[in-house]
Amino acid sequence: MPRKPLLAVALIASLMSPMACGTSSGTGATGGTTTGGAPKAGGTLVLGENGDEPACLDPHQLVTTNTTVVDRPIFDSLLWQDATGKLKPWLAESWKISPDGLTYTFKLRQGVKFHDGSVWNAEALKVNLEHMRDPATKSPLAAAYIAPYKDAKVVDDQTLEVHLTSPYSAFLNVLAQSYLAMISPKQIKEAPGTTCEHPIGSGPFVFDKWTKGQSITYRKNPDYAWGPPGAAHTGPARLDGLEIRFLGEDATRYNALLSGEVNVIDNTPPSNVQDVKANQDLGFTTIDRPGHPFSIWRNTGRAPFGDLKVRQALTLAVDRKAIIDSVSFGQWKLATGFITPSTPDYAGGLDGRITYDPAKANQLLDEAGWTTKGADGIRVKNGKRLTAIALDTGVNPQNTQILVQTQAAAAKVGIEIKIQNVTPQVSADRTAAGDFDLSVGIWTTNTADVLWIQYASDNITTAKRRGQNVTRLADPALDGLLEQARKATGDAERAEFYNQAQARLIDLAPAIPLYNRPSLVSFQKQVHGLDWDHAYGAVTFYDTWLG
Amino acid sequence: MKRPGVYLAAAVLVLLVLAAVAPHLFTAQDPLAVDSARTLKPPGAGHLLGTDENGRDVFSRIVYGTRTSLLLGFGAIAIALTFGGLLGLAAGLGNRLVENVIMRISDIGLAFPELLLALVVITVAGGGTSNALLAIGVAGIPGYARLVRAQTLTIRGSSYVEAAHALGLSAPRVVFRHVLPNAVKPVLILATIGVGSALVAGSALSFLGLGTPPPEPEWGSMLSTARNFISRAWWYGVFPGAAITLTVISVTVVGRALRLRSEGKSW
Repeated sequence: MPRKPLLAVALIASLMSPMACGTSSGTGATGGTTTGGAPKAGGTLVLGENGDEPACLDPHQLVTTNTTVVDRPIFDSLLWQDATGKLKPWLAESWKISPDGLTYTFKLRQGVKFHDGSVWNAEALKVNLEHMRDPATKSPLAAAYIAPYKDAKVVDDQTLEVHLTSPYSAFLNVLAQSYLAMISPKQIKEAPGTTCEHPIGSGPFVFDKWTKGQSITYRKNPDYAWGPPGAAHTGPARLDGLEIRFLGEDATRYNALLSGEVNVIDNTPPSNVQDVKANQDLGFTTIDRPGHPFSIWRNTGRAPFGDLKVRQALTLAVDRKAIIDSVSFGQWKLATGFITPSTPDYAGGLDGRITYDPAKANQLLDEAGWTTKGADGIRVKNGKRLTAIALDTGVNPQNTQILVQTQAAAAKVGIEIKIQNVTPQVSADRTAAGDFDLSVGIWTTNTADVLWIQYASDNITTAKRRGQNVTRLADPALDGLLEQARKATGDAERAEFYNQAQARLIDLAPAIPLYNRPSLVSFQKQVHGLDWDHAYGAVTFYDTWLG
Repeated sequence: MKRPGVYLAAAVLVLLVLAAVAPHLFTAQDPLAVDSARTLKPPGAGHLLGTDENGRDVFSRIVYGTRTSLLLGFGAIAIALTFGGLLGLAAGLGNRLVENVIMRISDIGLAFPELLLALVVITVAGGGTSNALLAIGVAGIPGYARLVRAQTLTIRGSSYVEAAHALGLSAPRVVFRHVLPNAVKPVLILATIGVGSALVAGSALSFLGLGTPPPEPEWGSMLSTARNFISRAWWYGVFPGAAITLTVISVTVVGRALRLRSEGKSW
């Protein structure tokens, strides 16, 4: 079995991210913007983040969920996704797509400079795209997101023509994500080994210092004059500095906000959201992330979940709403399908298709031949117990809770779930190797192409290639739909293919979709102008100021 | 009764052993029964000590968790004592080379905090109750090896051992009949106190998510999970914590009384 560190589902879930369009909930600007008078410049804002600290700050090399929060201050992207899911010019002034969908011509913004003084131009964009694809970068995500990239031609200083090997309808979307943000071309060419430890971008903040295991500090970029469209102001950021502290313990993070040690916390513990809302001194804001909802993935490559009826039965046995409400204290929205409503091409017509019906679950299990029950109520077939192994890293207490409650629901219909505590690395390896039955995770991204990444049979890990289809689902009909959606050049045509793919996935039940993960951000009332990167659903600080 | 505390502690231990053997005598509730609609309810009718984050009864989880928790404490010490005792005996009786090898290795072991050693074992062997038990036990071996060796050296030179040799008893007979029992006796009593720290170490491993896997109840893992809900469910953390504290105090009090008695002192 391959023992290379892979992105396991669970990891992935926590790792991947960004996304975009569709109907982002909320309008974006948040954080006491209505009160507090005129924005003031100055001060340093301290953000308390959870313990998911990136191992490297080069966006192209990252998969962690906190990439956008940590890297967006430093880096700008080619495009900006607005609150309604529309893609807007940012470092690209405009773009044209050829009728065959194979050539993208980007006209670039002038006057943009990186923190090291190097200039943003067609060559810089080309260097960045090549860097994402360079095997030496070992990009786990950006490379996959621009897999159809073939080559690029510098037409003039401000124009780059990008050629794809096949039409790829999600290309512009992914370019708006922080994972594909623009690094100084000078650094990539002259000192590629330094991008992890000392990231250089063109963003509103300049990287200052990274104390591993503790914090990252940033200072204002005084030359910044190319803020994203839709921002509340232009020119340099209002804050003089920014510090992100990694406070892994939920209780510690929350108490740090209460004590004033930090001004803002991301990943507010769901159990504390009501307390925050009731607290006069604090504010709260949230947004649902796009992409694949948090789910329980099932290994369809082996028994017992190789059997569709057993998969359907487990889905029916679980009261998803009760579990999600209890685990999140009502802060998470129940997932309605295989992508979240804030993702473009979400098929709203399928709401309500995933149901809770233990009687039907029992019936399906009987039909699948698991007719006899042992003394402990677990079903048996040919002397074999109906047992499934679930991997849990214990890193996230809510994930453990979800597994425990699912375990109890499964036992009621005669399915035994054994939860194994493993380290994140072991979980990643075993998931990639198919040595598991159940695994939890999420994949945030701003396009329905996440379904191709997660469920196309091409993306099953083999000895030669590591893929992200952790459920090992191989369905020719689904493959066809996802492939056509990728190649579609018209919006309506693409939406139709994705619609059918989402319906097909509900029938195939490779996973139990559970909830749409929100960013839960709490802040002191003196903090104003927090905003969102809608391509991921992560908090940003360009407009932010301290009252 | 000069020291009611000792009897009280002994009574607590009896209760704990009973709970470990027959938990159903103490509660009719199923410690694994999940109720998503009744999570984190405060103590009251129906749930004596409230419910946890999955709606399970905290009291019954503490009662049913006794077995695993005590097993961790006593089992780990049993491992440490058995292997530490044999190694210490060998070091105390063997030639210089044997003694040096065993003692230098145990010195290296002692140089690391026990919990760190346990973490190393867990990293190699994986998590779970039995591995946690093994890990804590292995981590305790160097300490006991050193103690038993010191005792053995003292006894080896004692006149009754010399007398046994002089009487022509075989070496194994001298070792296992005269040296070992006398060397281990004081250590054994120290070990009762060690049970308390092993229990805490087991809880610490569970606390780190490396001990007992869900949904089995275990005090340390309950405490570990409860910390995330401490601001809204005090009962969830306080009662498992109290169970650990009470057990450690009881074992320590009884162990101390036994030690004093073995030294011929009054409690």
